[in-house]
Order: sequence, then C-alpha cells, then structure tokens
Amino acid sequence: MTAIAVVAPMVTRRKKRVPMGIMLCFGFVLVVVLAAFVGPHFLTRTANTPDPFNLGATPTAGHWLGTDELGRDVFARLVIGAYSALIGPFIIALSGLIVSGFVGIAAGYLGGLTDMVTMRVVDFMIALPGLLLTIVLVTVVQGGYWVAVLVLSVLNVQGDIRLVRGATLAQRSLAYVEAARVVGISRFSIMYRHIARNVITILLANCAIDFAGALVALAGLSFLGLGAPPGTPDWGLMLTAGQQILFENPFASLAPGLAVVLLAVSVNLIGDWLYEWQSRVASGR
Amino acid sequence: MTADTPLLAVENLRVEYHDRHGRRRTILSGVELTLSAGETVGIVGESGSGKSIFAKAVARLLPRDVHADGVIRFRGEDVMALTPRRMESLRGPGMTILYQDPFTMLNPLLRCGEHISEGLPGGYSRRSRRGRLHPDAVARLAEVGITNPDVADQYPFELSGGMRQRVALASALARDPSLLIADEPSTALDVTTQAEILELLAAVQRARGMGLILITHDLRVAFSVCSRIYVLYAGSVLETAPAVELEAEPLHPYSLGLLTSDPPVDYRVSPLPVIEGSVPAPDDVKGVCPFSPRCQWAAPECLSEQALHLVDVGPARRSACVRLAAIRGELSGEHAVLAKASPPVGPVSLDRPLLSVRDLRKVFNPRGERPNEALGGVSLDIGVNESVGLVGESGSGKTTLARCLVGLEMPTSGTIEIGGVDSSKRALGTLHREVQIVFQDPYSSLDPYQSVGSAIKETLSVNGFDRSRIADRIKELFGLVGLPETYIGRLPATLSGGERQRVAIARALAVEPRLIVCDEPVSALDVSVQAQVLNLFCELKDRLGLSYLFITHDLAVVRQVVDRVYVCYRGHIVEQGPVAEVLESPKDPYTIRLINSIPRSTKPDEPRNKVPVPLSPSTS
Repeated sequence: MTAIAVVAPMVTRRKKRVPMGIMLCFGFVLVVVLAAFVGPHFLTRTANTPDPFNLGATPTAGHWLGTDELGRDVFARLVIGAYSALIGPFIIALSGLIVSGFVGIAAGYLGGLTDMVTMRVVDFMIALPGLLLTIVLVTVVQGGYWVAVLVLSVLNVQGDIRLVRGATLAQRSLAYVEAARVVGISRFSIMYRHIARNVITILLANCAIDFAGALVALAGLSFLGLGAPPGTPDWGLMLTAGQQILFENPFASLAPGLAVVLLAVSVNLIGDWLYEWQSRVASGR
Repeated sequence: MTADTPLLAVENLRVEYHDRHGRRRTILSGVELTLSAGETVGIVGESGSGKSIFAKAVARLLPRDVHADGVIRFRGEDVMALTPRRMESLRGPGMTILYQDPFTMLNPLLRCGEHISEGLPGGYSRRSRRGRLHPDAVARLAEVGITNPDVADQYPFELSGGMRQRVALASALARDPSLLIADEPSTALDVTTQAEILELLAAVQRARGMGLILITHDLRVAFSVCSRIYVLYAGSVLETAPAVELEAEPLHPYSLGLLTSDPPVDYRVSPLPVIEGSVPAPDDVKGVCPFSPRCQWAAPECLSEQALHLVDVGPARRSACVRLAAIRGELSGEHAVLAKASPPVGPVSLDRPLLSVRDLRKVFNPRGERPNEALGGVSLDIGVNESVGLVGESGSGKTTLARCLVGLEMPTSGTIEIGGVDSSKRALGTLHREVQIVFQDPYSSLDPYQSVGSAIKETLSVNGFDRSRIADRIKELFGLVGLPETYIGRLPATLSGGERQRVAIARALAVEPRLIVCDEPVSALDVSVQAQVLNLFCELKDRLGLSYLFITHDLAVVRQVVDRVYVCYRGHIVEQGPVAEVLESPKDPYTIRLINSIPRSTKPDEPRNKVPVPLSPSTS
C-alpha cells in the first residue's frame, strides 16, 4: 500500500425491496405457471366432461365459474388453458431474445457486410403485413396453434434485432469496449460478455412486451378459429364460445378474457421493473 | 431599493430533495451569499458541492421534486414569495443563467439571430420566426465579439463551441439583465477559447455594470475574473474572501487544499500536495464541519454544531473553520510549500528510444465527405522510463495519435517502432503487451456490469497469466494503484471518479506494458482528486520503470508529470523540447497563444483587453 492510497469510505448497502405491485405480478404469473403444469394432472377429466344437466349455468359450489355452452366446467378449462396461454408466448419471446441477441449484437458490433445483410432482411420482414400473413399461413397450412407460434416467432424477431442493434451501436462507442480491445480481449468475448450484459436489460424489457403481444395475438387467432383446434381448453377459444352464453353465464367469457389481460399486464410490469432495477445496479443508485 | 441594498442577498438557503425511498437528502445546507450591483463573485466547488443547484435555486428553476427554503432577496424583493408569473418576468430583465454546454443549450432549429431576437423587446413574434431579424440582433452579436453579421443567419451546428457560447451569451444578455449567473461557461471549451470567453464575460460585465456570479470548479478561472470568491463544499460555504486575499492566504484547510492541489504551471512540485479521499455527500457530514473527514487538522471541536457557521476573520473575510485561530500559522506554512519548486528531471538518453514514430499520417475518408487529415506527418520519440507530453486542443489530432499507437486505428502511412520492432509487423495481439492506454473518462471506460476485480482478472486470463496466481496478482495491482482490496468485488458505479481511474490504471498495468499512453487521464476528475492521480502516475513511473505519453490540454499537468513536451496543432508537431524550455520560452506562435490563455489572477492595475475580444483562427 502506498502513501497516496484511497481512503475506503463506509459502504452503506441499502436493501433493495421489491415493490408490492411487482410482488403481486410475480404472484399472478406463478399461479398461472402452477396451473399450467400442475393443473392438468387433476382437472383434465373435469375439463372435458360435459354436465348435460347444467348447460351454461352460473357459478355453483360444484362449478366455481359455472359451466360453458356444453356444460363443461369453466374453472377447470381455465386452469388447463393456462398451458397454451403460457407456452406459445414464452417460445415466441424467448426465440426473439436469443436470435436478436446473437444477430443484433453481431450486426451492430461487426458492422459492414454483416450489418447490411442483416438489416436488409429485417427491413424486408418489417415490410410484411404481420397479422395478415399469419392468418393466411395458418389457414393454408392448417397446423393450428403450433404453426401460429412458429410464424409469430419468426415475425416477432425483426423488431428485437433492430432494438438490439441500436443498443449495441450505442455501447460500441463507449470507452469500456475500446479498453477491452486494447488489453487483448477477443471480439467474441466483447460482444457476448460485455455488450450482451449491457443490452440484455433493454432486451428483457422488450421481451416482456413481446410476450404480452404474442399472448394477445394467439388469443386473437384462436378467437378467429385459427389457433388451437376447436374443443381444446384455450383462453381465446373460450372467449369466443363464451360469447354465445354471455347472458346465461358471463363468467364463461369474462374469466378467460380477464386472465389474458392480467397475465399480459403482469408480464409487462415485471419486464419494466427488471429494466429499472438493472439500470439502477449499473448506475449505483 | 436603496443604494446599499445588495443586488442579490441569499441567507440560509437550504435545498433538499426526496429520494426514491422518500428520504430527505440535502443538496445545500445553509448557504449565504451577497452580491452588490456591478460586482463579480465566484462560487468555486468540486462536483457534488451543489454549485449548479445554487444557480437554479436563485432563479427558481429547480426540478419539481427539489425544494428550496431560506431567504433569497433580489434587489430587496423576496424571490421565494413571488408568483410564478412574476418570477417569469423577473428572469430575463432581472436575472439570467448562462449554462455550461454550448452544444446543447441552443435550440438546433433556431438560427442564431432568432435566439437573440426572441429575447429582445417585441422580438418574439411570428415575423421574426419566419427569418426576418430584429434590427438589434446584429448589434448584439457584435457586443459579444461576433462582427460577422452572417452568423445571425446561421444555425448553431454550423458554429464552433466558442462561437456558440458567444451566441448563448448574447441571447442571455438580450433583455439587459442586472444579474448574470454563468454556470461553468468555459469548461466545455478549448483552452484558448476558454480564455477568450472568460475575458469577454469580464469585459461585458464591466461595460454593462451588471452583477456576475461565476460558478466554476477551477480556482484559477475564478481568480482571473472575480473580485470575491465563495468556496463551496458538500453543500456548505466554507470560506468567502476577496480573490486576491484568498489566493495569498487561504483561511480554511479546504481552500488551502484546493489551492495547493491545483498544480502550478510555472514550476514543478513533486509530489503534489493532495487532499485525501473524495467529496462526501452533504448528508454524510451533517452537523459537523463537512471537511473534517479529510482534514489533517480535524479535532473534536470540528464535530460540533458551531463548526457550521461562517465567522468573520478579517475585513470582508469569513471562514467556517473553528480551529482557525489555532492552525492559522500552520496553514500559511503549508501554503508556502507551494513556492518550493522541485529540480527539473535530467535528460533521458534517446540513443535507443522505446517508442519511435516517424512521419505518421492518418487520413479519415468518411463516405460522401472530404477526406480529413487528422495527422499530417508526425514524428516523435520516447525514451526508456521517460515521460513525454503531447499538448494540443481538441481537433489537433492528439487522440488519433494515441489510438494509432495502441492499435485502435490503422495509420495511413508512416512507421511506429516500439523497442525497435515495427508495430505493423508485430504478430497479431502482441502490441498491447508493450503499449497500454488510460482513457479520459473513467465513467465509461469500465463495463458497468462487471466488478472491477473481474475486469482485471479477465485481462490477466486472456493474456495467459498463470491461473493459480491471478488472485494474488489482482491484490498486488490494487495495492500498486492504492486501492483497498475490499474493492475487488465492487461494481464501477459504487466507486468515485478517481477510484475508477485507479482501476483503469491497474488494468493497464496488468499486462506489464513498457509504455502507457494517457489520454487526458485527469481532466474528468475533481481538482483535489487530480493531484492524487498525478502523484500516482509519477510514483508508478519510478517504481516500475514505465514510460508515458501524456496527452493533455492542461499545461499545468504537463509541467508536473512530463520531462519533454511536444506541441501539436492541426495534425502537426509545431514545437518540442524539455518542458521547462517550451513553457518558459515558447517559440511557435501557437505555443505562445496556448501559454497566454492560462487563466491568471489579474492585478487591479493591470489593463484588461478591450471589447470586442478578437476571435482566434480556430473559432471562426
């Protein structure tokens, strides 16, 4: 230690508490995840067994949310439907995260030909009318839910790539990137350790928006009869079917609709909070 | 308003805000200031001292969640009690603020003339916006030294920083304010331009007889312009005194520290006196003398409430130091140390230079634009264990040279030899073992999500350092740059600027280079921290036998750490030689201008420049 050393000040580490609202969002998402993976073990029979004496009935002790137009238990179908509500949007958001992470950072950092080719492809994809194309493809291929997930995955990624590329360009000009180059750290390491860590917060927040968008888009496709095959417990399908008995049992359509809204909002708020929290880590506040 | 009512009187001004957790955080605690009509006072303070917030509080321009209370009287009128409407009409003809950054404070969509017409009486109308200028606009530009009337029709982006600052000043003066608060008006500018702007400010102030508050972090700037100075530290005024007396005999340990740690340009002091540590947050020193944690004279009475009040210590002099009576003699003794110059360093043999640059050219060819020659044939040598300075303004090509040396940029032509080996012929990835660089901005040169220890560990491991010894080596490097080992796991954001710069130095040292290129390594740091880092550089040079290329615009820094100096102007070396020789008897006109632009305190009998100040070629 030298005479001109830094005098270490007291570090006051504040406990960073998660706000109540975000806790509620996490709670709701957790409930949906549990429903999606545990629910089917208990409720599959219930969900698919019609009760011929209670068609479109209002809630009772036996049917917590009443029954649908065929007399099936709405609550059980809501629980089972959580799976398709979660898995599709999750795949869409995650594929966006991974692909745009790799491609966007490479395009932004390497520049030149890599950047030009990537961005022209992205421009082309942006020029496509997304939802229309999805509807046409799903109708033609007849694949239902999984084809819709695939098409939405591909069409979702262009926005993410643009975002990541932009964020990478901003990072590339910062001195820490040059400092890393000067001490001999490889390009790959700079791109996927340093820059990735710095742009991932934006990307995560954006993926939350993607998730919510995909959830609504898939529900919309089901609503149009283009997603999950008829008869499966799917929130979008339930919304359509429930309309016919809106006055007999309003919960048959309200419950899945509300579930879609709550899940989308929760995921969005969690994404925002993650972004803010991580930005605070970097700025030391 | 009677004749003896001060133009501005601030008493017990407290500014607080609520942080995210709803706790009250102090920015200013009980600041006082008086300003007579036609007087120029300086507020000197380091970053975080609250000096900019003071300006905003006086003009009632604080952000919504920041609250001020206390007494602010402008021409005897209570500013805090005014209605927002009344306040709006006071800003402009009453008081106005000139901000630091000339690159963002002008609206890019308004022509310069429009910026000024907007403030002139009857100027803000549709007609002026369509391009017809107020007849006075050109005259107003002439007042700030812009004699070319075409400038009124130009957009801000077409002008240099110094010209923009002039336009901003003209527009601030448009309503003939009786008080101008200038918040670091020259900090963002080049040295030579900086001097012009300061002279202009002083000249305009005297010609108009308006009150001027100059806010700056640089004591030398304050001495050159102001008649009285307030020293602000962690939200409190520690001392106030006439500039001449403060310079001659500071009566607070902090003022003394600021004075002594500001390196002199006329002679070398080795090592530079330093103030340990860095500026605390006002709440961390609540109820005690804010400087006590860093003060070598701190005693129990400094931790009492009475340590917070300014006490008269002479005619027109007030100091907050409670121990002043006891330590006054010691303070002046310490001050005298400044006058002791260290002997200059003997010449280093250049028979076999470590670095030899010959006729280096670098031309940038941006697409669709004219090629821009950043370096036009630069040659320089650096001996083993020699510290060489490269001085020049922004745009002189000095940073381009640095980037070429470390391989971040490929030179267009010319050779760079390090240890006798041509850089361009070196095996890929071996150059950085010989030459390292320390960047200017310690806030962006570290990855914000990587702990500082991990940054050094990564550097060591990519350079094939023995894995089992990495942990020890990190501790050794931290010790070398004077950082506690407890910092290893910390994120950069939790470190101060000076500490981050130490980390950056440790990272550069990790590969055991022979030459370190320092690109303005202290210009982003506070004065009191600058001296610490400069001393560290000097110490490391002696201990490790390093050579430096010190790139800077600050001649005082050059004087302290450099043996030989090159002066760079527009991509060419215009002068070189031992530092004392170049600074004391400069030959090239550019060097002379550079040296003349150093702010110096003006003696009352010294004639000042006339208005308008002529424009230097680089600003037109």
